[in-house]
Amino acid sequence: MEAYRNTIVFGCVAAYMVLCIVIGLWAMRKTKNAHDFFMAGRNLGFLVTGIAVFSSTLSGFGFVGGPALIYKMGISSVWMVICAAIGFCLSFYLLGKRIWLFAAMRDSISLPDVVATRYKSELTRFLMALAILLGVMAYLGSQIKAMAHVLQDIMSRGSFWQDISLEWCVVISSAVLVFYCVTGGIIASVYTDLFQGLIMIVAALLVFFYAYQALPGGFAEISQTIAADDAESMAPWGALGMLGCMSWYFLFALGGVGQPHVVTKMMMNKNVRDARYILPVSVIGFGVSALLWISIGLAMRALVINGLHPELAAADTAAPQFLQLHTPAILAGVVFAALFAAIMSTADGFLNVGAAAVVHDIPQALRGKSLKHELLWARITTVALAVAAALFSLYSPDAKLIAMLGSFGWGIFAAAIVPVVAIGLNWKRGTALAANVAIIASLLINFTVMFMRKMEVPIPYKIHEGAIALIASICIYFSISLLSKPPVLSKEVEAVMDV
Amino acid sequence: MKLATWIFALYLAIGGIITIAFFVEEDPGSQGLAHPTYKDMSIGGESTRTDKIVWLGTALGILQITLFVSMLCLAIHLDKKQRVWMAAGGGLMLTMFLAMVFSYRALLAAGTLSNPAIFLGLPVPTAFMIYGLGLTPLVFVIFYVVQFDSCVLRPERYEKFQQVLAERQRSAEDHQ
Repeated sequence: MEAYRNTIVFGCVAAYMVLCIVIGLWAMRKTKNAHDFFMAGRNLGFLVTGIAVFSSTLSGFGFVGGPALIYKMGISSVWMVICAAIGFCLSFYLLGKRIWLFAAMRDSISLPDVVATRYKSELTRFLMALAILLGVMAYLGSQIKAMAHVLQDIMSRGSFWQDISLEWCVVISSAVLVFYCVTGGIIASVYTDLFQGLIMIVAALLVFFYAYQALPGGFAEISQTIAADDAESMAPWGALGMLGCMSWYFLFALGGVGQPHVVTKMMMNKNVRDARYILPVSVIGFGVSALLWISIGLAMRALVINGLHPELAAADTAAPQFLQLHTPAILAGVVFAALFAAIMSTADGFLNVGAAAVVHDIPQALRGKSLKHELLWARITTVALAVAAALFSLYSPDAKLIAMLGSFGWGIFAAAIVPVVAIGLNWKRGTALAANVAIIASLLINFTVMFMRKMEVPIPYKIHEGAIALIASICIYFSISLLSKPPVLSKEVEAVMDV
Repeated sequence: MKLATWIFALYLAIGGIITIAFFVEEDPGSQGLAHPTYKDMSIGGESTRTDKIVWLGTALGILQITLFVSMLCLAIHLDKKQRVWMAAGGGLMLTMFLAMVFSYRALLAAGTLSNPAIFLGLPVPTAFMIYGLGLTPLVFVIFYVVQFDSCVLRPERYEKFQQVLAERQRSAEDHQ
């Protein structure tokens, strides 16, 4: 079987892609209008929604970047994982019920729709749509590039495709993604998310088992090996240090509430009461999948220190190398398919919220009505967004810029959406002016932060810039709201916020 | 003090602590050092790097956990007994966080950080972090599931919402 390793891995990935296409075709028959395309007719069950929420949260970063960070700096990046349970709680306590009720009241099909209802302001809708669009464009490029790199890595190992270019890998992987997003919209997206989430869970459990066996003494020996080499790496703060880790804990717990592709899915369940079951499904799914993140990173660090695995040229190869050299071929195939699943399940959500911003929210804000033939335009825009992001990821003058933009996109989402949506939908005193200023401030702060990064301006103790931007925008939102006149809420908004 | 004002105060306090960190002189290795042998691997180096900022980091952790639990309460309706449950959940998270900090400091003082006692495959402070701080929020997950009807979506309030929704739908139909 090992002789066919590359063929098996490629076969698993190809089978996964074919299944995504089949789901896209099936979902196309169910997508009859823009409401179906963006909101899945608000008709999803709790299991589908729960798994879609967690699989959208865990992008390709969790499967490649996460293990790489643990290999690189020890326990530090585990702070991004252990905040998940409280992060999901924050999302569901603050928005699980509230956003669903807002969506039901006005039959909303996007997050800016909800924001416009809450603040009675088209300007707030426009700014929110703009922030989402900027964040989506920034983030999508990094996801597409990650997908293409993985595909190139897999295909170049076979004899037939050895010289395949990155351009072709971008075309192939984006084509599959775009196909199911265009044909089936969010229905295809959530059902592929369901399938993708299940693959991630199975893959993570199996990988955890193999990582446990990497050294004879299991995780106890792995821990002792790492601690003997550098005690701090296996201590709670890892190599990064205490304040850096605490800033990650803050940002990733709270910032999750501000991810539009995740939050939007909370509007899609059939019944508001389903939220009570969606939360545990999401937490368990994420928790199990994150086992892969932690176990591969620790196992690879210990294996390299013990001389049982050659030194890695780059930390990013920790997961692919572990899969290639320390797991059976079929498992490597499943995990590589899971990796695609993780990237695609995030990217499809981005495409959907980005398309909604372009064809629904921005025209609504500027003209007072959305585009005619919204479904057709939604499909065209989905293709256009994917093509633009793919071109940017391929031809960006600076490769580092793409990674920076990924972080920039995440930062914008967190800083713009947490105050305006997570706090604003639960606090009647929040005003439209405060929301507008907070969104603008979040954009400006994140642009400044990106510029500082580009100039390599150091931040003390590696406190995450995103955490600083998030605190700043929330404080601005609170300050302006408290300094302005209390808003007069409509009867409908009062009714939603009183529940 | 209203809950929202309390939350704002917590954000300001967290912002204040981060601002203070900008003025505390950094020791070499406070952000990690390159591994002397392996490329693309970092080490924490000397544990004394935490001495100056341990109080800042501890305060930051306490404030963050307090903030998270306070924010959970922002969107739900709690009676006296439920408030106690939420406070107990927060207390449990704080206990785990402090146990992690103190057990780490204890290992440092004993000089056994490089050969730590292991609990379920992890050094004790890291075990407090992953199994303790990481899993205690499950209390809030259980609370959400069990208390959903009494504090998240109260039937009488939801009924009122449905009345307004029905009114709105009727008036929309009349317009058409």
